[in-house]
Amino acid sequence: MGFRNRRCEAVALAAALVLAGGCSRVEQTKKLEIVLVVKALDSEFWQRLKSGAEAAARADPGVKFAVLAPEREINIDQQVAILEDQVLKKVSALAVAPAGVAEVVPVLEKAKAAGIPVVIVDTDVPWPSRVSFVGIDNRLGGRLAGEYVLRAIGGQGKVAVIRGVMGVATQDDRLAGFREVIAQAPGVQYVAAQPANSERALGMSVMENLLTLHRDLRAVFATNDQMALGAMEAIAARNLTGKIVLVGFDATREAVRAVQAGRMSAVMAQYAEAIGRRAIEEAIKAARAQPVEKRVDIGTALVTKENAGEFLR
Amino acid sequence: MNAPLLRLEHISKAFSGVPALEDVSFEVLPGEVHALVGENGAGKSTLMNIIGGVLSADAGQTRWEGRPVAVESPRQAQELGISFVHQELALVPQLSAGENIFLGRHPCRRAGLEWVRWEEIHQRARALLEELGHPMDPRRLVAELSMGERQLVEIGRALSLRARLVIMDEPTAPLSERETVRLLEVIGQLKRRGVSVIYITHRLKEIYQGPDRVTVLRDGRRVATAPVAEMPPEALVRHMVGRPAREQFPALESSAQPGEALRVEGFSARGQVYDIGFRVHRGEIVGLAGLAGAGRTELLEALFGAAGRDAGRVFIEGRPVNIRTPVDAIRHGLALVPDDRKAKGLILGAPVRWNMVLASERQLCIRADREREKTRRMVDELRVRTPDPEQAVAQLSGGNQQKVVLAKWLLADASIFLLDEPTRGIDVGAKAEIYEIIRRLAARGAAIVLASSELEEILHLADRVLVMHRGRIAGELARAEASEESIMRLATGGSSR
Amino acid sequence: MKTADRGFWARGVSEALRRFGPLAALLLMGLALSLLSEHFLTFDNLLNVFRQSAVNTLLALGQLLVIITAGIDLSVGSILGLCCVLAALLVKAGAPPGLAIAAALAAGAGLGTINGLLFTKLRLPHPFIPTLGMMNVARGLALVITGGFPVSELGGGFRYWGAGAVAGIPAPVIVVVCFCVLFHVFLTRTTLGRDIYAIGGNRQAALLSGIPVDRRLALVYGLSGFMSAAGAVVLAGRMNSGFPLAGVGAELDSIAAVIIGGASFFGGSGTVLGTLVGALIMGVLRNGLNLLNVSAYWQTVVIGVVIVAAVWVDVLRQRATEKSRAARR
Repeated sequence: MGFRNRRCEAVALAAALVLAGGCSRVEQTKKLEIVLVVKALDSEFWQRLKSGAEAAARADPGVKFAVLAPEREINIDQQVAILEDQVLKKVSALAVAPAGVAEVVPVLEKAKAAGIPVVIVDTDVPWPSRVSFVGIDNRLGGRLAGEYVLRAIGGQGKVAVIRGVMGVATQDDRLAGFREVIAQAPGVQYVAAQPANSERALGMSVMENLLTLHRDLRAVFATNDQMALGAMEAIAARNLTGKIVLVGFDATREAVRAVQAGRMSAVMAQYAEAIGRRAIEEAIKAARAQPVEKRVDIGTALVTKENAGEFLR
Repeated sequence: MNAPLLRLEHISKAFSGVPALEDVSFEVLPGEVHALVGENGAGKSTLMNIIGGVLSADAGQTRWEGRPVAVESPRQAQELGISFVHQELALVPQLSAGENIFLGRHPCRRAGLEWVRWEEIHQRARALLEELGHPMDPRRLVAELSMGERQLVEIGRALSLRARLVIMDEPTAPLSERETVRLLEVIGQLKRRGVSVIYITHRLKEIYQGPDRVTVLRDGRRVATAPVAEMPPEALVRHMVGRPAREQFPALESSAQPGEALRVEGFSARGQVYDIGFRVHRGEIVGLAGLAGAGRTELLEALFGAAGRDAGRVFIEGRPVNIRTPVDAIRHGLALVPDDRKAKGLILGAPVRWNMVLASERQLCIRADREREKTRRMVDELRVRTPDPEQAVAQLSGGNQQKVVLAKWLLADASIFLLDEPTRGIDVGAKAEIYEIIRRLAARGAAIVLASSELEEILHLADRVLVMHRGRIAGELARAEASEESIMRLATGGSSR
Repeated sequence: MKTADRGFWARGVSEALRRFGPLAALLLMGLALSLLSEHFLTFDNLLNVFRQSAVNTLLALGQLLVIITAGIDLSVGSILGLCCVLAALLVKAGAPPGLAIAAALAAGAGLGTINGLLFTKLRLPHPFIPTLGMMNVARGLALVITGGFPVSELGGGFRYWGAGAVAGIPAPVIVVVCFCVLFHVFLTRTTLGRDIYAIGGNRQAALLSGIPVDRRLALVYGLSGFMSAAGAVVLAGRMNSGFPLAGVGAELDSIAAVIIGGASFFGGSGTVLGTLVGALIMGVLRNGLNLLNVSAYWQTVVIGVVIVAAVWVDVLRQRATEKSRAARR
């Protein structure tokens, strides 16, 4: 009886496949299919980047657009799987914010081999075949943040950094720029750079631990706003708001409001919509085989209480 | 003469066609302590469950204070005033005695908001416990109380529910001597308050220490009711076991040989079995009798290495052995047919063949052909009725399932068989077949220890009978001396004379 | 219908559900997806699916053994992460790929065996407890050893098992097929495998029949750890890096694959084919939804629904079996 059932299964499978093959959809005249794959969609930064990208796509009627991402920034293999599937579909162009370097580059190579142009967004990777990079000079951003901190603490005191996933260029560059600047001040002691995976809850826990370890901490630089907002809560819980200088990075609306309210000291602006918009514009150009700008630096700026109002518009 | 408080008339109950109670009439007078005795399976639990509303009778009438009532749920029974003190006490260990007494009925300050009045609880609990003659701090956690104290709490709870009738099922089983005395005093207190008590027990001694009347159940019928003073122990035992055994299963010839297969000395285990010593010869069948809770299953499982051994020595064929796990036991040729074949003896979802070869095919690769051949051989030899040995063993009848368990050990070449209730839940036809198998085993030289609650079975098969009572061997009876009365006497704590 | 007939049909339905259940679901899904997306039923995409499901399948094979014994292993994701990192570090330190792989496998098996020993020797009430502890310990160690940094650029020799191919068939697929065959033989043709079913079916009866239950359980958890390490090697090869957060959440995916594949959560049943189908169902779901540009969050929702549906089918099956048994009496 078992044997007969196995044969039945095989017949059923074969029948299903034939049926499916015969029913594949009729090809329509294709719009350009542009897909944006980012690291996660769980923060305002990515959401704003996404809306900027969608705006650029809407402006062009010949474009079909989608945004995909894994559940968390650390799910690197999930991003690789998503990219593999998009490459298979032979989309017209890809815009990617890579969650990792060594992990993602191989699948980007596959995209190139399939003739799909790839625009790198926000987080640069040392992959020569990218048609463009759209983002900001993160090192400069880190330097500016460092300069602000030095001014704010008068060149004296303990300073710590809360950073994102290790080994990611954006985070590394911001940290490096920051350290460059504060290394020049002899009175400043750099105590730690703790990872918090760009997650708010983790940022809060890490900040709590830092406060416990270093009672006389004077300033904290969080390399993105999610972590900064978490750190902000930790500082507030100990009634230290205003006594510790807290600098974030991204200038999400929530963070800017916090700066206005005096709960955070400053943030570095990232103009996420602009990044998203330009990235998709370049991707569309690449898909149409038009000339593409190799590097688009959206620029960064320091946001403090004084100019916070501008960034809320 | 008082009118009876509770009266059961012509109660009958059957489970799946098998009668548990037949035409039983039973009554309890107000303020009476009425003992209820009978062998395992006589129907005591069924009767009590009917009184308590857990089961409903198939036929017959229940009257409470003369009025006919239909007790259809435990809650109804409770409302009438019937209260149970079970063997497994229904207390919450993490709460205090007082809280347990008023469990679910905490007096509240305002209905709906559940502000508990702790003071009132503790006061009333204390008063109740004092009335019972044994004051105790009601704030103590039940988890810290001794068994006797816990029983007190249960009885206190019954009182707080304004019980008129308290049913106690084997209350002294977990108690020490001293606590037993205290319990009997408490029962006396209840009686003084006009509360009736139905007292179920196996311990004949206790029947003569308090109860007013005693009723004997046997095979689902009421065979005697009399004031305790008019029922001497021999008469009681005789009622419990009935006329000498039906000649359906006459005693067999012994096939015992001189060689000693198993010897046990000073064996104690799990705090429930003490200082057991006995020996079994090759070809001999030693019966192990005793009432529920005497420790037979614990002894056999401990001998098999399935439960902790506290002390003692075991010798197989004269050589000392150290059996710590069933793997050791099997290596030395022991086999255990457990008392609950579904829970302990078989993998129900697995095929018959698997179950049969489980103890004997221990090499790495499954040799399906050899296993099928072995299975076929066993199915023939033991006459196991199964349409297909690849079928799940759960689909076999009880008797055939038991044969599968036996087959497992036959295939494992066991030489010492520990059988625990081997024919429990099996119909007469299959029983006869299993007796035949056991007899053949003995004839081939196996040593067999047969623990059973069915005295007929032991008398039919055993060459000698060991009787256990409260974890010890109360006595040993040679075949000539063994009878239902003599076994029952030892099993209930009496002497062998 | 007469009682006998009803028994026959009930048995037929339960057999159909049991045998075809997960496979039928997989085929239906494949059918639906191939109608919804022209890309689904292409050779390349199907290879993608197998490749993407490979790691989960390897972990699920180990988890299958554990679940058959009515246990659970929550540490497979973390052991995967730790072994991933270990292998990568060894390769970067100059060790030949074979040695790095062997060391990772040994580490996985060792950690798994520790799980089993903790459960049996300490007489813990449920394997949930030691594996939960190990989940945290292994993950913590992985982060400690690497400081949080991924260990990247592992070289072709090592990457072969994750990224290489033989005659166009990806190496991970071959690895998965080999292990599936091995496990199938183990479960169906060896007494060890039968012992495992027995322990899950009725642990007390297994013990009383002479099965060395503690030893078998240690073996089962050791194998689960070993399979986590195998998954780690494949993943590190595929990702070209050993990153310490690899495998976060993978334990739940492996359990889902086993359960969707028809194994009973209470032990005693489950097959390699079922587990493979369960893992493929999850892979096909994710792949199909990716092709349809459905967000990752919805994918998670769908998988949750599928798990509940799978268990519900199992419940129906059990009831059908009982009815057929009762009808026969």
